[in-house]
Amino acid sequence: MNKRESAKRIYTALESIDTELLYDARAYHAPKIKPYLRYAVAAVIALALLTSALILISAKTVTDYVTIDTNYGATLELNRDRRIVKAKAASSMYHHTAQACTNLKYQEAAAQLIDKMGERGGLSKTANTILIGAPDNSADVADELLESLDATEYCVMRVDIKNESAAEKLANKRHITKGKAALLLDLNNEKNNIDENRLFRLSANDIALLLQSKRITSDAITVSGTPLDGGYLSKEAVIQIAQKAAKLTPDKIVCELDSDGFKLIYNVMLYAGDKGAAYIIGAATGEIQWEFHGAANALRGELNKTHEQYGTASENTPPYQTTPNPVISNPDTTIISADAPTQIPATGFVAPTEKQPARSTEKSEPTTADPTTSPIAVPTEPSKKDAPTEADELPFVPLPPEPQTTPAVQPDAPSDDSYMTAHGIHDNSIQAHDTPIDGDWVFTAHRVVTDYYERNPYAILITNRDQLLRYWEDYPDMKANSFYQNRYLSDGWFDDHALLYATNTEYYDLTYHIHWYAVRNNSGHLFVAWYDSRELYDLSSEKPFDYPNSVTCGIELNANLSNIKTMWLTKLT
Amino acid sequence: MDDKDIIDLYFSRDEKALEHTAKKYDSYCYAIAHRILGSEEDAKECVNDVLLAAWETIPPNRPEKLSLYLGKITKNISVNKLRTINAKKRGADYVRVCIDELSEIVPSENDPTILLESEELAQAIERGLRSVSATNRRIFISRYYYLESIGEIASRLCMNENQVKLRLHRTRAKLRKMLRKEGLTDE
Repeated sequence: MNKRESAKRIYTALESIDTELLYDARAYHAPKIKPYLRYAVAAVIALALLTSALILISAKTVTDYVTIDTNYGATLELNRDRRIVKAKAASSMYHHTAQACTNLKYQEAAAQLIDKMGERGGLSKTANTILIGAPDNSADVADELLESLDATEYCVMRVDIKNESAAEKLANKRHITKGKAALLLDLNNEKNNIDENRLFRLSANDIALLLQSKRITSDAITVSGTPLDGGYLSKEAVIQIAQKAAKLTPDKIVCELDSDGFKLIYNVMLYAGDKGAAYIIGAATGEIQWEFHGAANALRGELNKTHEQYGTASENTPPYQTTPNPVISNPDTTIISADAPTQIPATGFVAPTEKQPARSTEKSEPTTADPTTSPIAVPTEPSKKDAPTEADELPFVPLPPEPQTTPAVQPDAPSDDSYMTAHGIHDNSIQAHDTPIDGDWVFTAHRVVTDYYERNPYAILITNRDQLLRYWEDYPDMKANSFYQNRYLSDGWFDDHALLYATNTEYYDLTYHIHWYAVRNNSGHLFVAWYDSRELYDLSSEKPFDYPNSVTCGIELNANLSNIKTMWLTKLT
Repeated sequence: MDDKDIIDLYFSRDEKALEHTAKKYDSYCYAIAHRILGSEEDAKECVNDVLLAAWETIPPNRPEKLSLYLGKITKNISVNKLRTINAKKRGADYVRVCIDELSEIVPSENDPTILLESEELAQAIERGLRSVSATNRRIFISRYYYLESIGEIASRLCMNENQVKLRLHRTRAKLRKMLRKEGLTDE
């Protein structure tokens, strides 16, 4: 049988298939569609596709943006529907929060961000200011946002972003939002003479307080509500401190709020006839940071000179050095910190004395707690008797949990050199600057501190902001651990934050206002806590611990993470 | 008169059975036939053939529902008639073209024996046709059973001719694959 005959058999076999199939095949007539209807349908389909494409494109097209700042900032980029195309946090601390805002309506996203900022301390009982920035073409968006915020207890500052390119440049340089950058640019004019370095680290609330105090107004800035000043001493209290220190009866007193680039301070000038005294006093701590005694007409000049010298400091230079400043040559000038006794500053940092040996080889025993029973020392109220002695090698002691209501004059932190010496910092090629600011430790940029204990492979300090420098190259275990490496590098932690952690010591140091710290337990597990210790994150799982709000971190940590040996901390800007 | 009485008339060989059947089911059978044949004349002729077939098959058959029985006879006669009409109209050459197309289903050039008997082959093809889409099945049957032209099929199903050709090709390929899979050819 050839192929054709086989085909014939199939042809014949078709006669035997079910009649219903045969009938259906012939009886079925497709519904007739007239040609013009076909074209119409095709046109509708094409239109629908085109519309969908346009909707998709417009959904991804940024038409407006607003910036929101408290202690931290974020930029919300919106599409025509006022939905978030992209939310960018100026601080990587809010990276995930910002990401979660995508596609939300912008009011919802703004509320979410503000809530999160509130949780992390950006808004609190002592700080209530939100800075909203928007360019002209997004003014209506900002107005709507302001309207919703006006109904709250927040103080809202609004800034028009006029020179976008300049604002963007500054924002990128300082890792801040364009809104905050625009504010700084607006204030940096001949009239106000406040340059960016004095303000960019300050929170929105601090800036608002400063503007209010200096009675600075600008067409580009509007403020509704009143910023909270509960975190700061009153002028009366500061004047009292100055008067007590000056020991004179002034016939004229000038007291003004100012910024040193990191925090708010008071400039106090006391005039008594042709003599006088000028002071720079920490607004939060009441700490006298600088003082001058001399001719009355020289007070302002000396004060300004000091501000010029340090107030415009870059992030590499801490303001108000704790060592005698050679620039100030007036013999009447007294640098308080140079003669400061060894006391416990608000940070809990114990300034090393000459007698105090640098930590180098042996792990010392704790003086405030028995490591065998309590690996973490419970924070106690600092006092002189807590200050280190020769035998006390430990650089850190616990913090006082709350600022004192009547702040005492605090000693300054040690100079960089003494700090490095005391802590076995051996990387001499890179400077380390640690400046206690308002009870916090600030590690500014371009610093690498290595080896808390030189021989301790786990003690590492990592620098921040501009770039990461040699942070674990001496530590094979970290270098080999791609998890940490990837995590730190890919998430941009070092863009905004310094991170320090140390292990195998029996002491720790805490401040109440820390932004970041990391701790590591005996099994090598790394934990990270942030800001005011409300959350403790386990780096390996990224899941927060069940960690209740705490009065001080140390107590909570002691209770919850008893196997943690030690912890360093730093406030990072 | 109800169907039971009409059937009784058939069994008593009373010619009034045809009269009553025609009176009751003439338009029904005509509609079926006309739907297939598309011609009034052919449809009327088909209805006559249906009555004759009913007379010849009842008895021995005693249908439970006369309408269904007559409908089936009408469909059988109509589809066969249409096939015959089309084959006659198109001529032997056209049938040959269709058979040539069907030979695609037979894959082997050398001794492409289809191993099954005709009835089994029909069942296999029916299974294959049921496995393809309704549209493809209709096109296939229209082409190879009713011997309709590509243009006629395209017009009736509101398609263009290329679409019809493509669907035919796919159905043939699928049937070939299926026949090979079921071992109906020696490949």
